Amino acid sequence: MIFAGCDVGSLTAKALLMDEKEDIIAYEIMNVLPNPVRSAEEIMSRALKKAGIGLDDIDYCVSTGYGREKIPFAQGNISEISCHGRGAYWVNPAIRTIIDIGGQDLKAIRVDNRGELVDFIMNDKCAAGTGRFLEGIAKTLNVKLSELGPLALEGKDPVSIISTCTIFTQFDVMHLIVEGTNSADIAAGVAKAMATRMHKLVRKVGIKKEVAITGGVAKNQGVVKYLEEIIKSDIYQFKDIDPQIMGALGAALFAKEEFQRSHRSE
Amino acid sequence: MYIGCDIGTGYTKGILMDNEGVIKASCIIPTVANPRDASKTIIKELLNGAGLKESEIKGCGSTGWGRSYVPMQHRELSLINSIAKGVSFVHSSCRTVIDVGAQHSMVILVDEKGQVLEFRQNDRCAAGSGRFIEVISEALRVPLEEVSSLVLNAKERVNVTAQCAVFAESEVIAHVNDGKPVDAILAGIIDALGRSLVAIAKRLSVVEDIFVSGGMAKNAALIKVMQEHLQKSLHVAEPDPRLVGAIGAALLVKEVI
Repeated sequence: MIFAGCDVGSLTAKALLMDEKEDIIAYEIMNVLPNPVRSAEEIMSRALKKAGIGLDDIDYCVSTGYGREKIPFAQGNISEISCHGRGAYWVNPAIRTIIDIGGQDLKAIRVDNRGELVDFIMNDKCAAGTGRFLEGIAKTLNVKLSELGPLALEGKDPVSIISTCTIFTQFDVMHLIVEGTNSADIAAGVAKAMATRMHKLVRKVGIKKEVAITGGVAKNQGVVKYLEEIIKSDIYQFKDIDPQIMGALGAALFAKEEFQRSHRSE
Repeated sequence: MYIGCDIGTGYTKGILMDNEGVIKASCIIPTVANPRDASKTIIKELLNGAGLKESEIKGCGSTGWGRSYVPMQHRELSLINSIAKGVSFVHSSCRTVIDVGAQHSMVILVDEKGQVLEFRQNDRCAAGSGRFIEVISEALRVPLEEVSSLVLNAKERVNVTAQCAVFAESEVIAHVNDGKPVDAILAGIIDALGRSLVAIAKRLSVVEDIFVSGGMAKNAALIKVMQEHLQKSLHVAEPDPRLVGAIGAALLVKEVI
């Protein structure tokens, strides 16, 4: 049997396929297309192709993310908060706190010892602390988003970032470049500012070990390092699985659960 | 002669003022995140244009984000005080100033002498500043100076819900993909900015006459929208709404020297 999770966010679309033993068969991540439905169709067909199966082979599909209600091939949809919590807990059942950084939002999620959602808080009103913040800074520094983390680790003397607003920070960075500040110190300062922002949010739900970061920003080792310094605790690192896929993984797990529930009641 | 400089995040403005308070010359150049070079250029332009030497300047007042970079002896002044002074000097009937710069917006209540009575500002977030329009016009590939006339002629207006400039940009792109006309999208954006500014003004009891200054005061569509939301008439600060900070800085330095 095949269960699928499809997570269409504001910047990237993700799809994951698993079988009834909860073994992951395939997953794919791509940048979104202008239309969420087309993004979902494209990413799911990529994952299916990788698995060598077709859409008809899926027994149950759950969608999540900002475009979740519009996905035509999904039988159900569940909020990304529940899906990220579920996905991270499945990978490591010791996880209690999840900081999920999406393209356009920042969430702090707490789960209990059964992986059930206890509390969450989110910012989706302002780009500060979201993926868009780092994207804007990478653009101003003229580096790839994936280069920002390694660059931040090279920084010895992180600059202090005063502005909260993404647009204003981009301007501050331009000014620092003009003044001759090296880009590693700028990237380090930006990573530190991002970590500070994340900490302000996550402490509202309570920081309980293990702490994990999901979403694309989890790949920025600079941000991880500074957040570890601030919370004085290690952050769990996803090893064999992409931290960006957690939402789709959680959705696939919910798909399996929903399928089994509906078949039991029949 | 006196010099007044206002080194903003968007533009650097400078004026030359004689002992009677008459503006003899003015100059406006983009700052491009380089206040050092911009202030050097502006001082040079003002002095060379009038055939003056630095020693002939009795005082130089500087204000704005990059005020400390002015490459001659100067006095640093608060932007709020400078704006209040500059607008009141030209318009004695002014009791409220709404200033919209590249990275800030402020509403200032002034007395008949141009002194600040009370103010509210937003300098934390691009939502209520010129940068908001700049980001959107860049995304839509519309030159900034064409925004106002496009909006004034727009037949419809989309609803922009995001306050954050970054998120508004995404919203705008979604509207473009939906096939909405560019002028209707810009009308929605100008309306959103107008609402943010009026929200700041409403935290004070604004008194007429009300003058608008800063770079965004040149946007007639924005003035119109703000008048609608505020239900009061607004005037654009003379001689150029962008120069009020520099004028005020020159006047304030003239008072103390």
